[in-house]
Amino acid sequence: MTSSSKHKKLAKSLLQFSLNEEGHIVDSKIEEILSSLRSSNPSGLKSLLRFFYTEVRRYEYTYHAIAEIGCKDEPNITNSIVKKLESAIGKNIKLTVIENPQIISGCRVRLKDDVYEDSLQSRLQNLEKSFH
Amino acid sequence: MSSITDLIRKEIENLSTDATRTNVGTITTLADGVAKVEGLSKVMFNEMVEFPNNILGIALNLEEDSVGCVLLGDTSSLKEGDEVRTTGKLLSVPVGKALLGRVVDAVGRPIDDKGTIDSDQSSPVEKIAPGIIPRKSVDQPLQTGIMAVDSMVPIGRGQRELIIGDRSTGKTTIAIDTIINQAKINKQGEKSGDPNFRAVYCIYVAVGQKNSNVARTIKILEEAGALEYVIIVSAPAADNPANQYLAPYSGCAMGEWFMENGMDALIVYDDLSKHAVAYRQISLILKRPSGREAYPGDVFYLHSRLLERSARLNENSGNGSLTALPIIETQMGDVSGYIPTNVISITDGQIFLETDLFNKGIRPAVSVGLSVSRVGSAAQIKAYKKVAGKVKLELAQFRELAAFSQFESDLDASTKARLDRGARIVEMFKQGAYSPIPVEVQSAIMWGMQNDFFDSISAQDIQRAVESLKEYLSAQGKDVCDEIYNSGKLEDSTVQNLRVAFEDWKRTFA
Repeated sequence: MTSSSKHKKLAKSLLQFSLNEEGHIVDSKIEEILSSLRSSNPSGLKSLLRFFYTEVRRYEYTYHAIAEIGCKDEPNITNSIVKKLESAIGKNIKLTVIENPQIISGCRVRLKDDVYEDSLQSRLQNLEKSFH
Repeated sequence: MSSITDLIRKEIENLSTDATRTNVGTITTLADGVAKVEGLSKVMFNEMVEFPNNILGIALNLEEDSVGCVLLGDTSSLKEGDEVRTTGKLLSVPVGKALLGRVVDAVGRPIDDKGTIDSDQSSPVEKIAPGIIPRKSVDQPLQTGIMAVDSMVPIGRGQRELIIGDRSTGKTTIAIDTIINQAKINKQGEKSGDPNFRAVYCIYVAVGQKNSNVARTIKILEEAGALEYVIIVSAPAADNPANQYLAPYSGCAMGEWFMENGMDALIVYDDLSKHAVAYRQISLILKRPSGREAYPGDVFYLHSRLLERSARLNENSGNGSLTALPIIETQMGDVSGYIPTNVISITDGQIFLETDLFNKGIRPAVSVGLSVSRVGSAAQIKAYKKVAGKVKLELAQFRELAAFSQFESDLDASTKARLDRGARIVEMFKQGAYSPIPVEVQSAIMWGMQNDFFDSISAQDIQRAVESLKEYLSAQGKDVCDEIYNSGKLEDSTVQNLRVAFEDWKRTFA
């Protein structure tokens, strides 16, 4: 096994250590991993850290959804979005809600490179396009 | 005011309430009309993608973690981090007769200030060429109106004949002449009311040309009254390489529409050398591995998939055809270059234009030895086949003998006769630009040459004689020309009438 594939495998294991029971990345766990790596200073630390960074980023990208909503954040809206996404993906989803007044009403959820949208802004944009 | 608000309200009511799902990505790098996009995991190869400000692009490189897209349009408003969306559609262009007489860009948008194009049909730019089953062998002539071409390298409907030569040797002129001739034949055919007449519609694709050249071509076609049968697809040198890469495929899609609907069409790609250069530029920016002369590995496929789309379809498939006249510019007459050899091997023959001949005043400067039509006499009317059969051989012998005769002072009678005949044929084939000759007149002139009617005229006077003969045949000799045009054959009675006409003409020609 080459050192890079070893580091890749190790980075995947480190990612598993960074997750809580719900499958979300926990910041404190990552900090713990980083400090222990710093103190032990294994060979090829830079390469290992690069692979770890890629794994964390990919995981975040895959299971971290960003919802933009036009109105104030309400827990029932957030919950219903999370439930629907989890039933579609089959895994726990972390959701970050952002208030975006440009959306006017409705919501826009981005998970990986898919965007689910039903907002007044998009409808108005479609209307504008239909006039051209 | 209230009607407008009602209209908007109705539109809102009609909109569906379902949430939409779109696949998106983010621009990571942007340079020279090519964008690298992160995301777009569900994008298809060659799919149209939408950038902000309604700018379109095409996904050309699908890599593990990014997508390489070529951009169609002004990219100055785009920046790193902008969102890109998939559309689920392949790039399509408008097709149909509504495009005739119009000048459009690489994606079929009008650029001639003549308003919008009323076409309700569109066709994908990239399409698989017709297979073996719907095809038929080429057997119908496509008259170029150029004697040297129609007699020695005849072109048939559905054929792909390459026009190749150095810069300024008359390549575009041959293509434009052919288009003008189609327009003349179309007008004549439509006027005759013949139900079996099949018009040939033309598409001229200008790739990497100077805008002034494209404007000149449009003017020539307009003045010749040919523009109404022509669609011009323009991707000039000032256009971005993506548009130059796309233009031939867009033009082909427009031509295919005629073929698929049982009509005949002719497409000119002017020129594929510049097309290959544009593709090389895109490929290098997309970081595709480069091969010979820095062209990417699939540069053969670039042209083969384009030219294979020209075909003659059989009766069951509508009997339509798409004839292609690709143009290639050589450097210092070198036909063994990478792109020239590729296109030579794809096409069904080539018209090679020589710089030396052009400079000597032999125009069109068709090289007899290097020009060939693999369809051959199958694409000639019977009358023409009969009179033009030997001319290529005679001219080739003349060129060979002329080279040797420079060293000989005394020549035997037969060699001298061959040289004289050759010199007259060369003069006969000289033809001005944008003045195509109808096939029946060409047949008559060739008949006269084969039957020694020009032997008493000195080589220097041949061109004058041909001009005078053309005038005679369009006036007093019109009946015999009509006979050839209507029957397409040289029957005994026609030959008799031709002989009488020639004797009569010779009396008037001094």
